[in-house]
Amino acid sequence: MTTDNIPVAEFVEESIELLQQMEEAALELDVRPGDRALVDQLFRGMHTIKGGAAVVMRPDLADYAHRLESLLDQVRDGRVSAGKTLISTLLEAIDCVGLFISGIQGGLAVDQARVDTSVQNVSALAGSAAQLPLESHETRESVPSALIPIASRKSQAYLVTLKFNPQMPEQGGDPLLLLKELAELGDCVIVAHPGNLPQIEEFDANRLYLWWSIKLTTSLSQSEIEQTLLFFKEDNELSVVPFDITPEETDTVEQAHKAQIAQAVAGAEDDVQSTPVGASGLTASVTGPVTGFKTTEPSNIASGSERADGTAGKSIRVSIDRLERLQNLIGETVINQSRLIQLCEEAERLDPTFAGALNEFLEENSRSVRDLHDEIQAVRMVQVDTVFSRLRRVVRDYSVESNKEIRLRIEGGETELDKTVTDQLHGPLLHLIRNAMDHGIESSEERRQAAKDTAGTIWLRAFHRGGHVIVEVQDDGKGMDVQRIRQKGLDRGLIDESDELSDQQLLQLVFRPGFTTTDEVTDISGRGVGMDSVKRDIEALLGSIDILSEPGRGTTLRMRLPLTLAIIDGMIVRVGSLTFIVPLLSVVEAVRPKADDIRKMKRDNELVKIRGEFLPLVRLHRQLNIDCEFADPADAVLLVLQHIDRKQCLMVDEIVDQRPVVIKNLDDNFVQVPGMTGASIMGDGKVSFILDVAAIAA
Amino acid sequence: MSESKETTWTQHMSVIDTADEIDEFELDFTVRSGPQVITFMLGDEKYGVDILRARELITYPVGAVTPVPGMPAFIVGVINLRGVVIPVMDLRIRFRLADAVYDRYTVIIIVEVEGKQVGLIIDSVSDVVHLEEEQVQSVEHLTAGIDSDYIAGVVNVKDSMVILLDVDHLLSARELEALSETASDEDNL
Repeated sequence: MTTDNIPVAEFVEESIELLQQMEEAALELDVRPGDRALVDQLFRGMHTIKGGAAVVMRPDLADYAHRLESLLDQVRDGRVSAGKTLISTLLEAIDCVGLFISGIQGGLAVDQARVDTSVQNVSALAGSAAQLPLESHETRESVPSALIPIASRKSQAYLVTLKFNPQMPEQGGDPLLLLKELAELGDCVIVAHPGNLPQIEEFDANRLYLWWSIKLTTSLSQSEIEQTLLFFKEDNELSVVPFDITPEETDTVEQAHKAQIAQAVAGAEDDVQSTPVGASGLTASVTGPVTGFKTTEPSNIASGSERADGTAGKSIRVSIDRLERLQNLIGETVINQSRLIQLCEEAERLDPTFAGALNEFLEENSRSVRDLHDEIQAVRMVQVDTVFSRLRRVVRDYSVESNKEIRLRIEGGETELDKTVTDQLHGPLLHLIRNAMDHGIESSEERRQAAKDTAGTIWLRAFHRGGHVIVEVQDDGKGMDVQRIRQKGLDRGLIDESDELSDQQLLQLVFRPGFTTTDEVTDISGRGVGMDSVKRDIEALLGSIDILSEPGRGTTLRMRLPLTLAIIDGMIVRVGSLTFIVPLLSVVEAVRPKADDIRKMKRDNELVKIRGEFLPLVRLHRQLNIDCEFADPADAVLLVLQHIDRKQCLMVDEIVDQRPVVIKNLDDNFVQVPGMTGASIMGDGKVSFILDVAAIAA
Repeated sequence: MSESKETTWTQHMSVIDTADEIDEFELDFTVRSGPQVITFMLGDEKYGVDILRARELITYPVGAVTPVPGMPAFIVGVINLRGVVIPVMDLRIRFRLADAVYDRYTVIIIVEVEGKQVGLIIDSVSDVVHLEEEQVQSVEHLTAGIDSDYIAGVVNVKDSMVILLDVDHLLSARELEALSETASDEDNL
């Protein structure tokens, strides 16, 4: 059996997106219980997943999604109210569907116990109505008030004849797919006709010799069944006609064929086992009278057209790789442009008239090139809300589990950041939010005593400031206890009794490795990683983090992030004939020392005295084993670099320039070069390496 | 050195039955479905690389190759190929042949290994030839001078021997990493 025709990857991708939107909708519904549009959105999402599940042959998921759909339908009709229990059940259900999806993606089994619990919860909410088959919602439009049980809807028998093109298996088609789909439409009696089987010598395993006739008993109409056949219509002889045979006759036909069908399925099972998707579901639904997942509308078609109406034409998916290639090409164009300008200057000497015309064109061209560069940068930008909204769930879950009532306020979610930055922001933000909920916000009781609103608030904020994006996590909790931090700092040996530190300096202690203010470990925070890891993550994003706290009023964590990771401000330095880039962020100052500022220590270690402070001297040329122009530090330039709290002096021949550079990953096409974080392409088209300040410090 | 290898190879060939040999040659004229190899010169020797692995040929960008500190000598440096940083390897140094002079006539073949692009400096491109798998001679017992690990085999094309390179082995990231470690070990000594 081939799975080539089953769009599993598309289904997974689409479902993940849908689940994300549904989770947001569910959380919104929590705030605005009466909003029908949200219920509709949830319903539509679940419906699409159900349809997709049938296409990728996961009847278990389709069945589960169907139950949820029915529940949502009842919410829509107002028969189930959108209370806290419903939201919790829905959120858990969305997680469960997520489990299914990641199961399909990774080929793993789902946590059945969790799904079962969820099914029970859903059933409890939906009451008996959820047990009703799918028609409940399909007939809703025409008969809104009463639900018609399946028995009362007239079932009819059809004769479906399937004569596939003998070449079908060669072309990658699989008749089993359609047989299974039909089996899901209702009660099926399938008969395989081996009439065309050739002599064994002529038998070709890649050809299809069988044809099938099926008695399908279903409540669907003839045209609905035909829709299911639609995908297979081409090249194959397929027909659906009403089944006009007396009951007695059908019974015998049924008897005679059941054995055959069982045999056929047993044979087919070997094939099916080899593919991870829906193997068991298939056997179950073809052999016996179909249970549970009895009927389905032609959902694949429906979901397909829905998608076409909804999002087609507005946006397309592009892989990050392709985007990066585009970015490289545009970067190259920018470099070519500067070369052209150089050539133009040379042309000036030869033929001023020609050079004038060329210059005019060049200026025009450089404008478009610049625009192109800005545009492609903008394509990589995503709204920070994509990260923020994922945290709403965390806050809600915590609020339900604990005795604290906490609201999350999101401000400036439309602020845009580079995708790489937003992707890596989730971890640190999650940590800060958990900290705020766990240690910042007091219990309702404490808050009442402090004459505060019993419900605590956490603000998640993003805004632009001076070429950077500021992201803040603020709570209106009890604030940081500076004296306790000081005591902890003393206990941990981070500070001395004699140190006179301002409150602000004491607050900075929380970012030191191994510092944590609460002794107890809770489920929410305190998993052994503290604020130091948050600081490290933010610094890895070339950003910085600061803390502000007022006793009794709350704490604010402020992160300053670059708009993009692809560009850094670099100081371009020369050593011998090579140029290197030092991230400007880590350069404190550049000095030229006097000869007596240099001290030798032990054998090879050198120290430089700068403003009364002795800093280790690192000769870059020696470190990298390359030539240099000035061996004497007094002739060279020293850059004072700071990494975390370590300072040192890097000796280079000269500072060439200071400008933004585009970072290129080295290990895309190479191995990681020790001492270098990456490379960049200079204006003259040459490659320069970006120094790894952390590695120099080590 | 190359002469001695050629002798060994001829001796090896003479073992094959003459009739078979003729058959194979006839096949070579009629069938054009075998793998294609791009051949190039390194000193006096002719080498070949599977054409499906060769992405493009560029001229050596004189003055625009950035040396990489801490890498083995045969990694001449990195270049900028349309905005992508690509390492360049000198096969002469790798195979311990005489040092080449790089000028604007020097050619770099960009090959793809494990989804990464790597440039190989060569003297000049010779030809593109069709091969039959059975023409290729194993070199396991012919290791004179160069490590047989990088060599997929040798083949006779128009009366000259072509050494087929196994680019996967020559340029795999693991290999490069191991080599860079060895290089730094040597530095430390």
